[in-house]
Amino acid sequence: MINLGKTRLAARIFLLVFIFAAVPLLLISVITYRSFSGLLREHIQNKLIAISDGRQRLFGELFDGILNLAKVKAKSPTPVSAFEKIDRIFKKGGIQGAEYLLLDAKLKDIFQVYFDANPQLNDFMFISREGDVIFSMRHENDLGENIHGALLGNTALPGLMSTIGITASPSISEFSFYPPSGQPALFIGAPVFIKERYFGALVFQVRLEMIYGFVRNYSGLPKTGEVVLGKAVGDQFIIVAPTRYDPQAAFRTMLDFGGTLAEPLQMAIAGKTGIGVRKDYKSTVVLARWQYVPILDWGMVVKVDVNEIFQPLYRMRNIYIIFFCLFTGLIAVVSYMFARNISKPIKIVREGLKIIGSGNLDYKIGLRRLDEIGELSGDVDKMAGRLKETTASRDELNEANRKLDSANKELEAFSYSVSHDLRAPLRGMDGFSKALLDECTDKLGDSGKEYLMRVRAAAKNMSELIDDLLELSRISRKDMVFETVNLNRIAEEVMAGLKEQEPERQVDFFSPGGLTARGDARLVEIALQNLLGNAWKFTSKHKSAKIEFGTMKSEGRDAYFIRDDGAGFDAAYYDKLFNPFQRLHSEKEFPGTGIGLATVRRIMERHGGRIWAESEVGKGATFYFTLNEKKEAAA
Amino acid sequence: MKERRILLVEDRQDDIDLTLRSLKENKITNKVDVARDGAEALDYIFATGAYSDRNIEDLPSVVLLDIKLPKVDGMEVLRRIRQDKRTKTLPVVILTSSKEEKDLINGYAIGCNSYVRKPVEFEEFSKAIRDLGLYWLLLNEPPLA
Repeated sequence: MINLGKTRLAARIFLLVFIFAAVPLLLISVITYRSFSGLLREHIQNKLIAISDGRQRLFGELFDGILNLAKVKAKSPTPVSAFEKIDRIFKKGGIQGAEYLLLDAKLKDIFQVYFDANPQLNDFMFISREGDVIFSMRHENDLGENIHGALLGNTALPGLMSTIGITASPSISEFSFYPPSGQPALFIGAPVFIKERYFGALVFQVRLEMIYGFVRNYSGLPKTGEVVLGKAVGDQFIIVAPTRYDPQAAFRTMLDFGGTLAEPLQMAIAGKTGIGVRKDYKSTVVLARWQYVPILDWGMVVKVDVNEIFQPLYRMRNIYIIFFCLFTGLIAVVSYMFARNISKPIKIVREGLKIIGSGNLDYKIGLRRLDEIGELSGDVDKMAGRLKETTASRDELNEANRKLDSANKELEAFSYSVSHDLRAPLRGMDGFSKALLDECTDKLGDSGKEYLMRVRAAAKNMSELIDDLLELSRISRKDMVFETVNLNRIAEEVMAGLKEQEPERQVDFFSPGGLTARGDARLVEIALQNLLGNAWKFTSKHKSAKIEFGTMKSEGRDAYFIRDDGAGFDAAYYDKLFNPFQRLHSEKEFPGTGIGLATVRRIMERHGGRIWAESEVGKGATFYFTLNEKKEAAA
Repeated sequence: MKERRILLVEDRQDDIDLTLRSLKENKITNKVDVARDGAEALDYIFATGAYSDRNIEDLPSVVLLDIKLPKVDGMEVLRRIRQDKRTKTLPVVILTSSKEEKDLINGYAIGCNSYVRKPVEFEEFSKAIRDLGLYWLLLNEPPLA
């Protein structure tokens, strides 16, 4: 298949149109051309054959007729008696005698009638047994001559007379130059018998025009159509009649058998009949019909120049070529216009897209077309508009993010310095209080020691506050890594840690097992530490306690809960429960900073989850939470 | 025999006093040199500036290094110590009040030998000093410079 990968649209359309329109056209042209040329050739051949056959038949008819005429006349009483009489007078006094002249004039009158009735004859002669020409209608200088004499010795007459004498039947002479007529001549003679005795011959000279007429009749032939007659002369051959365009062709040149010239004529003379494309006597390529003319022992060729026959074919071919070129040109123009009509708006859209792509979102292509490209243009404009809005809001978002980032960095720097610098004074307070207690214990007195203990407790409390605050800020900033977290394992570890700190306490921990969730392991651990730590802490006033960690469905979602049977809280203050530094019990009752639940809520929020609680004073508390609520809702 | 000294890098007088006190309480009697900022600590260690008459081969047995320091901070001091061939193996313990993970990770990445958060409660601080095994460190031969 043709690879159109990198071709431009216009070229592609042109190529496709060309392939799907021009190629079939070309094929059709070639096929019709070929079949037409075949038909044409066949037609011409048939024509040549018909003409050739026609001429052949006419030759036969003509010479048969003349032969017959000669035969009949040679037996008719009038010519026979006239022959006998003039022969006698000729022998007595030649052609100059008064008696001869008288008879000659009389015979001319008699035979003029025949002569007029047979225009195919040029002359009407009596030739005696001895070979003397004793009568001639035409009275050329052959009259009175002997056929073996100087004048007629080289003509066709001696041969004819000899043949007639031997065969005693009508005969046709050779066709050769005849000096008395100054042109070629053909004779037909019939023997005359008087009283069963051969007396001589009645000889007709065939009118040359009759012979040449066959050649000169070009009806039914194209312009270069010719009829060529030839005969063998020894081992050579010669054209015996003028050709259409060469009146001097007759008897001009002897040609060799086996030569390259006039091949059809050679074959015709050789007795063959056929048709084909050959070279003629002028070395022109012709379509020729060659045929033997038996009655004259001649060859006849009817031929047409190949160039001419195929002239209409060439014309047709030229028309085809012109038509094809015009068509191809038309295709080129049409497809160019078509391609332009498509590619130009595409180019406009593309330029527009480039402009939009380079950031100019106010640009409008605004192509007004009702077709798909118009729609595309409209869509691109709409898209640019939309993109502008999005970009604007994205820019705002980026700005907000940038501010948030810088705020976060400030917060980080702040908490970093808090963790280092705020703690240092506390360390001093605690350290030097301790030094005082150690080194000046006897000077302090009981209340002095008590106050110092309080200073140290206050320092410790402040340190814890700082730690919890930092933790709250840290969990807000920490990068989340989501994974499947085994909640049971974390809970067990937290509970184990709590038990280790207060091994004397009786706390039963229940959990169904198999609790997992998607979340950040570290944050979930901190949350569970806080929630379980609270449960542990708020059950500390009971001798034995029960803590349960389980799962349930809440509004169709998995929710987890941690339930204790501890002190609980007053639901009236529920709103404040998750606020930082918010405590619902006295420090003395249950120590703590009041930041734990705020931290837990922050962790749940960061997971896209929620936390809520139920409780009654003295009846324990249940804390519920979900993770990834938003994510699940989205999915 | 060379004296086994401790270099304490700390800017706060309170923390210096408390540290010295803690060392004393824990029966660590080695002489303690104090540098009050990072630049001074580097001068001391590499015997430059105010300490140019010090013998550079006379390195302390251990450096107790605070992170938050004026001029050059503790992390930078540690980095410079680890970059120099002569001090590459010098024991450095970071003492800090910070609980920040980033300090911890940075400290170990640069190559401190130990990392101790200075507890506000003095007992815990002493315990940390003990847990560091400084007794062992201070009583043993230091690595050849």
